[in-house]
Amino acid sequence: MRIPLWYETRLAVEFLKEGRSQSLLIILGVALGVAVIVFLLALISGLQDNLVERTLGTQAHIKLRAPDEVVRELHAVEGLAVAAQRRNERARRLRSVQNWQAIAAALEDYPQITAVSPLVSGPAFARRGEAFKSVAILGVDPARYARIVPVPERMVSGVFRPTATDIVIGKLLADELGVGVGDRVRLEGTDARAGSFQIAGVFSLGVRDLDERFVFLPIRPAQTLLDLPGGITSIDITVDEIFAAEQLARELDLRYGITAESWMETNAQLLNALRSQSQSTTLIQTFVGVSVAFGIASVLAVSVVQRRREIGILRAMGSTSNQVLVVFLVQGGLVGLVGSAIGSLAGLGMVQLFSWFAERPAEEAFFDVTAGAGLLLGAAALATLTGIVSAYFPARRAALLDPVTAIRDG
Amino acid sequence: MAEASTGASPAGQREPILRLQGVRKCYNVGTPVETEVLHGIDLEVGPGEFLAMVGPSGSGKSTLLNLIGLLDQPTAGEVWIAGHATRQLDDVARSRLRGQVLGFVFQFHHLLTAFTALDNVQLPRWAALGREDEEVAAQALELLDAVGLKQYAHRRPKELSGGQQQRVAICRALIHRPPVVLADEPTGNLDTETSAQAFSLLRRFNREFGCAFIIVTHDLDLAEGCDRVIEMVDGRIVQDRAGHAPSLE
Ligand SMILES: Nc1ncnc2c1ncn2[C@@H]1O[C@H](COP(=O)(O)OP(=O)(O)O)[C@@H](O)[C@H]1O
Ligand SMILES: [Mg+2]
Repeated sequence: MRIPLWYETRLAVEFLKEGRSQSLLIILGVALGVAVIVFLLALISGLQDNLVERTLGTQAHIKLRAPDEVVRELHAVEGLAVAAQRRNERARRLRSVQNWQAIAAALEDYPQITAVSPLVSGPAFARRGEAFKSVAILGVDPARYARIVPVPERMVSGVFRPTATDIVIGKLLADELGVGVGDRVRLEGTDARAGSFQIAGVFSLGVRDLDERFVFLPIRPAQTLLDLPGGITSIDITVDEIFAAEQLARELDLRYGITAESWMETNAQLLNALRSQSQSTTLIQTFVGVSVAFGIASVLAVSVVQRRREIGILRAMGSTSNQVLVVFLVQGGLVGLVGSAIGSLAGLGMVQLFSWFAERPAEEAFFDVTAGAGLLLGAAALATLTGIVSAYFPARRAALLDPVTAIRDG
Repeated sequence: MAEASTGASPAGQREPILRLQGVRKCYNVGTPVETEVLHGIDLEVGPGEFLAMVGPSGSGKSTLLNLIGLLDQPTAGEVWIAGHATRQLDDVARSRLRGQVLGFVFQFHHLLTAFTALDNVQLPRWAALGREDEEVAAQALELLDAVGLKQYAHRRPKELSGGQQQRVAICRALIHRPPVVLADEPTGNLDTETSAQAFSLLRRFNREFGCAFIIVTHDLDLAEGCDRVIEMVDGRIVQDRAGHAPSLE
């Protein structure tokens, strides 16, 4: 059986084994660098995943709304007057999504869409005795909506079961109105349409604005309160690939002629922040990588000088200058490979330790680290490549040594 | 004197295994200190010849050996080895040819300290094959046995005496049965008795394997034990004659 580069690898391994303390030092150097990189990557990506997850925990991935007439009609016209007029138009009246049953049914057939929930929402007032609060009414199908935002998991008291007579409201709103489960609240909607409801449950999504304003009803009473019989104002969607949401939104926008807004659009600022965080991590990684590369290169350069005579002998024994080159490239690669294996383990250990400590003070996990096998394989491959590349210049010097002077002077 | 070579050769009528024609070597070419250290060497060596090269220090013996060994390029002239003209060959071809037709023994044996004696002996074959080989290992062990070092096969050079190391180096030069073995002061670093032993070892392999040997030495007694003695002075061959006591073993 022919093992590729057997001869060069054998020499490389023996050389590394012989220069034990040097090899150990540089392998530790590589390990340290890789550990830092793995730790940083795991930490940052865990943190970011967690942030995104939290953000998406309380909103749809894509929201379909009826298109603004103003936007359509005055598309080509610009200027302040348009903006003003558009604002007026919006404030005036809720508009229903045309043909929403058909669209909602069609959306169910998309493989990448995991949940579809039509809802009707609009402004209203909640009154309880003297207390009077501006709220947002959300008329939903509870089972379908729960697959978009897991409200049932966030109940403080009662249950998430809005009916024709029962509503579910946020914790902060309940506190401000001074009500709890079983108490009655009067809701006043569009054009003085009003009704009295019993509170079936109180939720806390952990987002101030929602906990202070959201009032869940079934679709029909909400339609009545908002004077939108048979209509809905939006369709909420979740998808399996969250970062593909924007692309799908554009597609739906085009196909159904409705306004589709993805979470990526509404959270552009968050995404920007994540992106620049990733960039600074990349910068740190690059610096670490470069210093590791210089470390490998300088140690191998010393080794080439020390082994001048042996290199000359190898040449006299019929080794080509290419074989000598490869001997040193393989040394660089091996140092990278072994160093990264150790470093990855150490990095993971650090991650484990960190999450262990970090989890204690907070109630819920501060972050959820996902240092997968892919990350480790990637780190190993990159470190090996770095080793080979940084070995190139010392290896070239070894390959170009004049055997006569190398053997004579040693 | 250039033509005298064949006269003393016991294999003169056969095709020479080595032929030098008009070989010159200049150092520091193109600088003010350019010096020619070999002034047009002509030499033929037949297969299986056992040849000593003597001469004062600085006369160009090592330079000549390096040119024959394809470790260096002549400034002018041509070197033929085993039928190959070598002037036009690139590094890969020269390296391969070295690994096939040439064996080297150096003054300071130069074993690789990271490898055992057995591995050191196999190195030239590993380089040529790109892999290890059972047959090569068996041959190497056989050679070590022949020089009385079988029980030291798995020791590293540091665990061997100077004489033992030189014997390992001789085995390494012979593992691929090269038609030409070059030895630059192979006994220069050994005491008289060990020198004689090493020398007779070279002679034995010369007889057994039929390899031609070119041995640079300062020891005139040893030189006279060779079939042929070449004397160099100032970059020229000034004498080319038969040894006085070629029977010395
Ligand atoms: N690399 C070199 N550069 C310049 N001069 C050299 C070099 N190598 C050898 N010489 C000179 O060439 C001459 C022959 O040297 P060498 O072949 O080593 O002689 P010997 O082996 O017979 O003692 C000496 O004068 C030496 O100084
Ligand atoms: Mg010399």
